[in-house]
Amino acid sequence: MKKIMIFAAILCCLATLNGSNTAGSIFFADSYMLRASGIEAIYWNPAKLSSSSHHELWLPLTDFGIYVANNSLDLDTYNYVVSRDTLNTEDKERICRDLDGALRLSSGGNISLFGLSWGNQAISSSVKFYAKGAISEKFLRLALYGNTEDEYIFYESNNNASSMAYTDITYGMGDFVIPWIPEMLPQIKAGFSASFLVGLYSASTEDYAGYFTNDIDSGANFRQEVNLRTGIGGYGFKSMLGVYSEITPHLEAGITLDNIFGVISWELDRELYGFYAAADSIYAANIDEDIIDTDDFSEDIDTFSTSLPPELRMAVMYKNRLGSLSVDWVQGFRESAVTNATGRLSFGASILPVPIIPLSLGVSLPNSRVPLKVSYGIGLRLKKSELGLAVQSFDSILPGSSSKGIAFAMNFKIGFR
Amino acid sequence: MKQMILFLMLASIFLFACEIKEPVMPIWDLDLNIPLINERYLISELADSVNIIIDDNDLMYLETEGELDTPEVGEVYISPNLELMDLPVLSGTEISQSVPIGVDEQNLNLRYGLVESGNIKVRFASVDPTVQELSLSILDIHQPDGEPFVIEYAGSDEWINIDLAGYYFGSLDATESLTELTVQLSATSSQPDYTPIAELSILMVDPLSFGVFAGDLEEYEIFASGSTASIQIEYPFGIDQAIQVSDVYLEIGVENELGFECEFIGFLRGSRGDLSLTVPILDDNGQNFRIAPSTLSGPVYSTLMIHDGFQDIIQMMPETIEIIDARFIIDSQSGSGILHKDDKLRADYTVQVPFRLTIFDYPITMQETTEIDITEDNRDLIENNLLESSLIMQVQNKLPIGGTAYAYFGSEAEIDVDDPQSYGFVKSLSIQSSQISQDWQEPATLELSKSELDLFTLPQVYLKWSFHFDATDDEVEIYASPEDFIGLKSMLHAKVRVEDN
Repeated sequence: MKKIMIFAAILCCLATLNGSNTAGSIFFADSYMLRASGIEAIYWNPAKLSSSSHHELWLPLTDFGIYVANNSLDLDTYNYVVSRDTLNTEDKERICRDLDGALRLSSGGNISLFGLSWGNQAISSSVKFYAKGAISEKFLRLALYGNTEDEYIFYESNNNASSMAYTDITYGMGDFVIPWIPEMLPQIKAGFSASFLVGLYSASTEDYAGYFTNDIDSGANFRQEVNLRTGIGGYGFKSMLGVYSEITPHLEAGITLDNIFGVISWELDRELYGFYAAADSIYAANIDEDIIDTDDFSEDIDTFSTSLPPELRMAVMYKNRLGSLSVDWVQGFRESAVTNATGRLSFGASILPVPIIPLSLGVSLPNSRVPLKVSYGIGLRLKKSELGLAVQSFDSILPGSSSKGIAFAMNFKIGFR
Repeated sequence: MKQMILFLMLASIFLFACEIKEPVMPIWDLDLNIPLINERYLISELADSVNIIIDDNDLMYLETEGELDTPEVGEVYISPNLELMDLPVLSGTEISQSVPIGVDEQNLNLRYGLVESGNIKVRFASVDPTVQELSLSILDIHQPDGEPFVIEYAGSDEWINIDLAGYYFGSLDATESLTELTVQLSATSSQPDYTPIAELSILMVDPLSFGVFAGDLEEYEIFASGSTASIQIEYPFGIDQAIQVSDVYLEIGVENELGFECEFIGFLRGSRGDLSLTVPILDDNGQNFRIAPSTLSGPVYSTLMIHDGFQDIIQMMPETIEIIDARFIIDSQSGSGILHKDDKLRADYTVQVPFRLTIFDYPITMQETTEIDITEDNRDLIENNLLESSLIMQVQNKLPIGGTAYAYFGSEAEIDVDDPQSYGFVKSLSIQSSQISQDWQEPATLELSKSELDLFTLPQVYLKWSFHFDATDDEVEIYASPEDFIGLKSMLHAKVRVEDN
């Protein structure tokens, strides 16, 4: 179990070194579908690739975003805990109060490698990392309170880890006007993008089961069994379709379906790691005996695939010369390292107190899996380039010691004609 | 640009103004529940095949064994007093005459005897020169080949000493005692018949020893010596007051090689420390036992069962039991028999004390204290991390004995359970008799406070056990079948302080 926990922690830490979605989305807490343009549009809504003569260029490592978050612990709690000489019951409850069954860690990121848009086309490449991990609240309570209950059962839903990294080479086209739309209706434009994916690594908990019982009649009994599937080196594909429409000069709406046919097949190094430990009827009187049965193994496995479940996004944006307001709803079709099956609503706002300095604000409402996210960003928009910086706070309105996660983003792109 | 810088500064203030304190691990307390034991202690495991045994009915016994034997009985001695001097021998005659051996009043009657040592002297004196043949035969003394004892005149007037070793007297199938020897004289000469031609003298006064003796013996004692039967049990103080044993018996198996019935006289002595108690070994009628003689086919094994008379010895909880002053007596009731010089008696004796007890309300205390070594690591853990603990114990008792066990813990080996100053604290656990309940009893909790736990911060802690059994109305029997056991389950509850050290 220790090995598994360390491995999961390493995965999370690795992920925090890298980025998440395209950097621009962090400025608006993911309410970004109708805001992305140019190169970013092929990741958010390729229909918005414009046929204008404006070109855009991404330089390597200039567009990145990273985040790390958990569902329970914030800096306040940390400072409180380390400042206490002794933890009493209230202190322990403070640590555990937001766990909701498990301590869940997540992180992810995105780093651009290159990108270019011209007319209604764009091509880009970036590296994406995702990682999630969960460890049951019962483990923490065991450490804080001891084994006060007779039975502890651990489920995979609260004890798991998954991580994945891949590079995409994405090409997209947009600005296609959907024909046969009645003239009284606003024009609807469509676009698509396709990504060739190069899998870097994948790891995920395949099976986990565990229990720990302790009573005077049967002694201490425990069993921990976990299988972890890993893959290094693979390839895959995904695509996106998107439409959008300017309903009025100030109002836009759009829909995208991402991860169509999304899959990564792991080909090079594929292994299944297993660890098993069990003991029955342990009593201190017979602790010297060889009572713990352990086994671990690793074996090569056949090629396997990681599917990228489809994800539906709908958005509406109102804009005028002073700024814009947007609302996005995103719904993954299945839970995975890159998608959430629980829908999420996010709001974005941009104001332009000075035309060249856009300020941004984003709020993503919490759901059962993802906490509240609030973003703040500022940019510098010049004639041929644009630079932006943003910070995002998890489960706290302001980034600070109450945040349970933090994200940073920087984007820089060069425009030319 | 100024706004941009302002934003960056604000963001930095937000982010980096957050104080991140040095990671210092706090202290906290947690509760640990550790299963200690869940065992079934079979009573049969107490049996050691030495002192504690189990019979075919699974009843437990305390048993001890000893043995005794006699030396080889050796030769039977008689002191003959045969003195025949200057008996005239007449020519041409054969004279037959009975001569008393002179063994009266020697508490024996000889019917047959194989001479181990002894002699007879014969002299022919004043022999006429015309003697042609002169011989003496003693019909009751036989040469080793079975021929009668014969000696012929060989021309000398001196005493002739004949070594009788190997000769035998009488016969095995004789029905009468041999008190006289039949002497036959045969003489021929050229002298007229009935003319005295010589004088015969016979002298047999030196002791005769017989390697084989058949006949009657009276008051013939054979002394035995033996080993001591020890009981390797360290009795607790007071156990002789707390329990009473019953149905104790002594079994003596005697192998008798003697062809005589014997009376057995002996005493059983039990000892514990300076205490000792001796009782005679008698049969149920208060008489000495009699041991059957051997037969022609070999030794006879007699079993003597003694039920009465020595319960007091066992009740004193002896550490040794021995048979002392043991002897076997061939007496007038023994009748005729046969004795070989290498015959002996050997006896094995067994004391069996069934675990059939009456329990009294009286405390018993183990003699020795148990020393418990506590490692330095554990001492540190107890001192720094163990705040309090309790032992939850559950007992299932299949024995018909109940009571309370007391554990006295102290810092010194000399624990006197009656002197609270000699120990630190005492914990007790009550166990119900199986006659009250054979199920698992209600869990009992033994609490250990922090001050009591502090005793275990010493390198050595001493433990002395004392038991206070519940009195029984009647006798109870301790069996050792697979269903007779004491089940013990225990869980340690400890409040532990977790700290970074």
